[in-house]
Amino acid sequence: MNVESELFRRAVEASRLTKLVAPFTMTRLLVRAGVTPARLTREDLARALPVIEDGLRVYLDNGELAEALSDLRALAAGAA
Amino acid sequence: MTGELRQALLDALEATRAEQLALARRAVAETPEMAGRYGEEDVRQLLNGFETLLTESVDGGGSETREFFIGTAVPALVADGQSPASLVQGTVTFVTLLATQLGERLPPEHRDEGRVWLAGFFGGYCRDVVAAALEAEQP
Repeated sequence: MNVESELFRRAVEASRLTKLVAPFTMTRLLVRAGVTPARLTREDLARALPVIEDGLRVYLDNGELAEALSDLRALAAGAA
Repeated sequence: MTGELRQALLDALEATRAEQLALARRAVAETPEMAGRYGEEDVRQLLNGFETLLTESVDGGGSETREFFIGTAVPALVADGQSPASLVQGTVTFVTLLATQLGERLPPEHRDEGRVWLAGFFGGYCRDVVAAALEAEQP
């Protein structure tokens, strides 16, 4: 697994979505944001966060959403 | 849809919110390919998505959430081994239970019209679910 796909895997984990829907949902959100999941970079992730937030809001409760966004921001910033 | 009916449906949705998770669990349990396969978090997150798209439609907010939810949840369930037939069974079981609950919570003056709207919405939703499942099955 290369560095970029490892970042995608970590973003999927950070999303708080269940394993059932997380890969499809994160892939679709990243594509919607103009990002290629297999070549995801921290800069891409930071740019895609508003689109990811809108999508996660469909599935997650407010508390889960706040935790997911905090972790995803940290991941994009290289702090996680 | 009139503004009064819209508000009556939104009120009914809010009044049944606490019961909807139990209905969703029951629908999963009544669907052989799903029974025992999905945990509380799976069911709750899928229910959140469904509630969001239903509220969006009642509120006249379009179909963006519906398309997103069906476009992510259905391929995920198919990839997990669910057949289109199973998805139809689970979906129809859930919306039938939910329509019954919602119908009972509608005020008498809006009950008939509300039930017709819900039947049309749920019918279209089931159509879209099975279409997405068949598409996801394609190699």
